[in-house]
Amino acid sequence: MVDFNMTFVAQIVNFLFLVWVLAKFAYKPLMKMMEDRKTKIANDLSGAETARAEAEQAKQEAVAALNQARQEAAAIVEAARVNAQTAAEKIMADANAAKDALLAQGREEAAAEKKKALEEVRAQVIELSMVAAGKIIEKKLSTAADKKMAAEIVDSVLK
Amino acid sequence: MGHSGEIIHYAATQVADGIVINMQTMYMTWLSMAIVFVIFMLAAKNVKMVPSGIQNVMEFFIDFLRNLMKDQLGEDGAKKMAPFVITLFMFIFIANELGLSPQVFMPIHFEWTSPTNDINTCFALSITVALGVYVVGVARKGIGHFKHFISPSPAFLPLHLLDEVTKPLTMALRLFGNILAGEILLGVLYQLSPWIIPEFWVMFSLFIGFLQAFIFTMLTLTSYATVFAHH
Repeated sequence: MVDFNMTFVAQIVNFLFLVWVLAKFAYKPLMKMMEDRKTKIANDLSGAETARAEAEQAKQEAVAALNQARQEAAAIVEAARVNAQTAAEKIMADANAAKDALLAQGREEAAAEKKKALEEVRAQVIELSMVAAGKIIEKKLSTAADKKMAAEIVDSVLK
Repeated sequence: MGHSGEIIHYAATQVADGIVINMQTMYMTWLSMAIVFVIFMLAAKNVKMVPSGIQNVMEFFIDFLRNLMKDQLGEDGAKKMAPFVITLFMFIFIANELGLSPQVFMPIHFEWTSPTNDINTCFALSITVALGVYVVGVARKGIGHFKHFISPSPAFLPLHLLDEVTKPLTMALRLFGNILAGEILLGVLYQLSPWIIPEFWVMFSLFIGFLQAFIFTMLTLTSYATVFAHH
């Protein structure tokens, strides 16, 4: 049962042949697939990590953009408010100036009317005085000297 | 060999002048090789990214063996030795189980024996492993490979030399003894009781067949571990 013979050599050849055949035809595709799968899983994991980081960055950018938009909106509102105030102040100032001008013009016109009226009253009074004085002294007083004298009297009375 | 009273027949045949070959061992070896080859080709045909069926089973075995190899030989060693070690395991495993196929189901008279019940096969495998260690060792480290014979001190040289001889000897004899004994007992049990009782022994022997293939592979890995050890 323990006879050694050339079977020993034949078995070495057989086994090495099997190793060679399998290494050539079977292991390469199997091993390659197992390695590829390993690589693919590693790549997928790192890809997922990259995508996660990118999403995080995009989120931060969106938040930053939102904040900037808020600040800009606030600045615009503030500028509009300032403009409106300035415009209102200007309108008020213009109105005041117009009012003052109207008042001044009114006063001037009133003063002129008053002066004119006084002139007319003075002339009438002079006429009346002349008539009254002529009748009172029953003497014709129509010379220029008379008239001047009467005017002086009237002026002194009116003042 | 060839006595009618014996249970195991090797069919030793003189194929040429002075060259005797155990033909039964040859036939069963070729059958084992064919089965291993077919299994691998089925698995390697249309390999898919998501494995299924036989590819899944083979990847389970390959992964299992590769993890053992990584532990013993490191990443680089595992890659280089994978075809040799995986073939070794699969061949011994299939060879062991062949001789345990329930003879009672065979329609024609054909003796199913394990190629590993032949001392020639077992020594062929263990010597191939032992010589392979030298080949790979010298290829990787040159003459420096032989330095481990005198480590940690030259006083250990006799021990190392003894180890070099006993390792292939024990590997071959362990495999040979287990498988031959299993088959002899199976033959005796079939002669005693044609049904049921031998089947229990078949179940146990199927497990032994796996175990011996595993042990042989593990011892192979420890032999190669010194070659790929980091220094």
